[in-house]
Amino acid sequence: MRNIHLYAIPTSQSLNSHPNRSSPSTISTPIHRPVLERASSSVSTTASTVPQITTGLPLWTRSDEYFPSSSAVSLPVSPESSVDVHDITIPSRGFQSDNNGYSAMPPVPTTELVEEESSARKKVCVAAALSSSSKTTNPSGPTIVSSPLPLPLESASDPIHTRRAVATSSSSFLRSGSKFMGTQQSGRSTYEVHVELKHVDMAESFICGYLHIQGLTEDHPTLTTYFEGQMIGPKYSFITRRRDWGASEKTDIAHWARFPSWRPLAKQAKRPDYCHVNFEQRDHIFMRWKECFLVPDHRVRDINGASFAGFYYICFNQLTGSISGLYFHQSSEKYQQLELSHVSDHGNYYSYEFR
Amino acid sequence: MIAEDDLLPYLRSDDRHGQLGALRSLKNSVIGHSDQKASYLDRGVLDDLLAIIGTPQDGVKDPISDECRIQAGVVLGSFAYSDPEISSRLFTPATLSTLVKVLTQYSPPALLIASLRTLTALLTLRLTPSLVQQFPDLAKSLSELISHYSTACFANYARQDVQVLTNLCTLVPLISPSHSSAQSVSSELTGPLFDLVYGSLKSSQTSGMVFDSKLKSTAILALAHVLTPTAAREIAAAGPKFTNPLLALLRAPDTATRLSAASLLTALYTSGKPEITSTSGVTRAPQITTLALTLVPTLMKLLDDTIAAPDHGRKCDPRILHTLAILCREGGDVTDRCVEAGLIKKIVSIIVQVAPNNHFAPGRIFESDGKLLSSSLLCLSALGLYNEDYRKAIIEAGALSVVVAVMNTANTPATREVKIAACHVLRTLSRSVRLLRTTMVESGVVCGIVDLLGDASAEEERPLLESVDNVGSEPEQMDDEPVHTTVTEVAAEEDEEEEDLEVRTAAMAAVCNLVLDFSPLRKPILDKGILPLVVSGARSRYTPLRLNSTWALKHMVFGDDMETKACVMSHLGFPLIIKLCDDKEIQVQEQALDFLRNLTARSETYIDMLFDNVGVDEVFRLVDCKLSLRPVPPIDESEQELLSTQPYYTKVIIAAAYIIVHIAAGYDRHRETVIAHEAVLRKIVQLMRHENYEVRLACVWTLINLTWVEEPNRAPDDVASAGQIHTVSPAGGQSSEQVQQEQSVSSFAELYFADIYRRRAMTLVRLGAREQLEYLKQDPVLDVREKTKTAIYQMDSLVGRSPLSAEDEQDIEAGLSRGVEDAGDAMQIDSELHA
Repeated sequence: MRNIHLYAIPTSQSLNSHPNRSSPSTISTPIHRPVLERASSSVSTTASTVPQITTGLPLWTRSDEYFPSSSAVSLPVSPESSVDVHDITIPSRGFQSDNNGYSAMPPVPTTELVEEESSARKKVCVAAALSSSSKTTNPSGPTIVSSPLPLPLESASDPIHTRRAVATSSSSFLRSGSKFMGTQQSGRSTYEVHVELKHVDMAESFICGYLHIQGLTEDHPTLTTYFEGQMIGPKYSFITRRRDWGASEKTDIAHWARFPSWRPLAKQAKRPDYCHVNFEQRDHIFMRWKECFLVPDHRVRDINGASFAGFYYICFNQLTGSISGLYFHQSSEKYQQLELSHVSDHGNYYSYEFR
Repeated sequence: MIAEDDLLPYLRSDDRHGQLGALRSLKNSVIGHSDQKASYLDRGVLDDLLAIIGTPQDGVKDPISDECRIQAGVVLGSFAYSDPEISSRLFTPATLSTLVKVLTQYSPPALLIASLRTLTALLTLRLTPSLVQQFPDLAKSLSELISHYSTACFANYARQDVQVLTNLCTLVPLISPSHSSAQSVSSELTGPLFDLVYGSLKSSQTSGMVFDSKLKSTAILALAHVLTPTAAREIAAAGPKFTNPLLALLRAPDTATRLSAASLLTALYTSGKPEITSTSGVTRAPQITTLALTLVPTLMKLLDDTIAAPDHGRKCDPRILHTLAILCREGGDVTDRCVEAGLIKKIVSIIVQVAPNNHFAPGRIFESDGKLLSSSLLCLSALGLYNEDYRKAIIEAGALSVVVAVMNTANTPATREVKIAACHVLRTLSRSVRLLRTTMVESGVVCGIVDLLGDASAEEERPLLESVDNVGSEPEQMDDEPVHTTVTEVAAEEDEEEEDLEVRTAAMAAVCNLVLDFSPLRKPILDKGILPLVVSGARSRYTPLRLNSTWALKHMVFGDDMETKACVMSHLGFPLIIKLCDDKEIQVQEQALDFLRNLTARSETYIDMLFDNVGVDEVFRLVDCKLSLRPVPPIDESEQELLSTQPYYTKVIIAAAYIIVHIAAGYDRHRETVIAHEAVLRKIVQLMRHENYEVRLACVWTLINLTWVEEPNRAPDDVASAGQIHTVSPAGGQSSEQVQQEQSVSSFAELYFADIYRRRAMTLVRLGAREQLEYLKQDPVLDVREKTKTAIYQMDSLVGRSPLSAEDEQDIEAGLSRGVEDAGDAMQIDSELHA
């Protein structure tokens, strides 16, 4: 968050007129993740990664919608080219029939009820009610899967809600409830800043929390915003690739380069295909923090004299718990610095796990 | 031919030929004629039919008698397959027991087929999870019948055998419609069903025989239904020999076969994943992921075909969505693919078709719609489990208003399941701090969710279902089975009660997330008076509800909000929480210990309250026994299941260790209690080699806190105690000596504490903590290494030397003997002070 009277050039009119800028309605613009971006890409991306089976069986009857690509990829499911059905270990009682004793025979008709009387009567067609298979259809053509029986859905396998994924953290400093305090240096002014992490999900490279800033405007001694962070790693690249955030590759590099710990990475990280793997095991975790809305009342869009339209480039030191940040917004003073250190907690860690 | 009016006496006579003729006439007059059926039922024909079907078999083959039983069975079947008003009149304990008896003793195949169909119709009408409890032999009988007819079928492939088998397989999910009942029949039925499925897959491959596709799909569905995770893992271990023919079925011409194959493969796939994972660990075998990814297009195609035509969403088979839900709850690529294929919007379009404008009036939701709605919502819930963007997409698609509308709908059997599913959507969405702070605030979920929790308890005395009441008015039952009336009614009540408990359990799961400290809904929910409901849930005998309630309590004392902590403690006494710490279910123990961990975090007040109410020694006894908790190897369960509970035991150890960390982070006298309990400290030192890094970390934190040197001005409580020491000593008290006196107080306190700190450190060294720390310097986890450095620094500065030489060891030993005496003295002083 920054003080727009002191450091921001635009007026409220220019804020609204600029296409890439935060009009009040774009303040809470959702963070658009690459995962969703993939959703809008062409279907062939999906199809090319769906493997097909090469088991010596007839080829997959493909539906154009899901399998437009004809390139067959071998499936690691089966190392064999054909299925040997004779020496399988059956995990329960043995199969009792003679393997070769079956004879081919016609399919059994499925309508065979009790109805013996005139067709004028209303048929109570049990077989039809029980069977949806009697309507054999071509899988590529439209079919109606009807459900004549409200069959039980709950089975002997785990109930659907039993899965628990416990978020673990790579650093004691990087966990829910962790608090940091320090300053934001904007020009000649220094503001006291407190940050409180609310949820950390390393698996999703996600972090969120509250950012409190003091003395930014006269009307509000303390302003609190809710922010969300992307951790740079396999999921998020050093390059922001968010038009609505106003950052270009050039500004990305210029900001990252101000962190000493980024310099060893600089050469590779500038490559567009660079993937920052094992990010959680390194001394420094790089992030982008974007303030989303005000706390407690998220509906308040405008604060006279303050704006959180930009975002922070963050370098988090996992060894010391210190945080360095640089605020970026196209039209505000460059390189406003955030410096925070961890507030000692003596291992007072709350336990929580989303149900 | 006999005149219709005269049928009943013939039915009741001993003349088998007359009886047979009467049955045939009866059959012809009732089939397709609801009015006739109603009239015959009014005249008590049900009893006659049941008596004939249940004719005792004396071992002598009697073709006429068999034919009579068959005909009676067929007539009963025609009653069962008619309007619900008529078929529900058949739903009596006597009918159920007669039909089950047909399965448990020798019966001709035609009678079997008729009876299986009747049972199917009745159980479809009303799912009865308690059936397998009422008839303990039922699963075994089904199992034997499936084995017997499978063998016959593979030998001859007679049409009748196929029919019997198909009907047997259809019945399997219906006799076990709940998770617990399905588990209870699993051991009996998995074997024969696997043999049947495997045989049918094999026969298609080896001989090119066209195995009846309906039998194949019902058998596969039945197997998927009874498959426990353990059994699924065993089958999955058999590898591609079983899964490849199943994969081939994903291309079968008929939709039922494709769906059944997909659901069995899903069961096999998901069994590979442990119930609890830590996000830094376990990765799935690529083979299983690939398998799962091949299922997505199949299921999405089935779904698309269904919803392509206008208003066909209602005809969608709920199992498609249910299977997708099970796949998607694993997260990762599978979920991404489904979302990319537009699953969220498709589901919402189905919901809109079933209930336009969120209109969920009870009369409108039929049983089948209910299944479809609940599986739709469950699928949405699964999609949003892990990914913030997907949760947002679910909100944007308008799901939250659906959830609120469902929660506010009147209770009917059909809506109950939908409500459970709606609670799961709410639970998923409330995993997002952002949504909790924004959309949820205005959604009106608070009233809905609290009502669901309150509702159920008020409904405990609800009357039985209508049809059971009807039955009760006709006191007709088979003479040899009088006991079943009450058993069935009690069982029906139990079924109802369990369903209500499931609603409360699901609602409580959502509450867990809604009461976290960053949720603006925490206060409104507490203000609604939820605490008594949560506490009563924590007392419930129903384990899932007890678990979720304890979980919710834990989240209520999460954070620094002392007001809420006080409010929770005013409703919840320590005895209950201590009792939950020793709960039979390990996950409940985990939550209860985490509750204590949260309660004592950053709060000396609550450490004291815990000590005062439970007793210091009792607290340490509790922690002591939890620190050494190990899963007891079960005698008859496989190693896999043992492994699957292991993570919960580790979580219990972590929780217990952090209670010690938090006590040690309190005042100095709190640290003194930890030092005084060497048994616990010994465990802590041992656990520094635990395989889980969080356990190791907690142990290191304990050492850091115990070697912490408090600055006097930062611990008012402790300075006060030092001051008291001085007042005990004979002091002058003249005002001219005031300054000097204060100085002496401060220097005395310094000496007093310096001695205590040093003795603490030496105790820890004696117990082997210093060596363990040396070992942890090489810990693979960065965080543990960093904290180890701090602990070593603090400990060494107190003990005075680093690293320890052999001579130092001797010094310490010598010092310790003194130290122990000193400690005794100090403790005495301390206890006097705090008396």
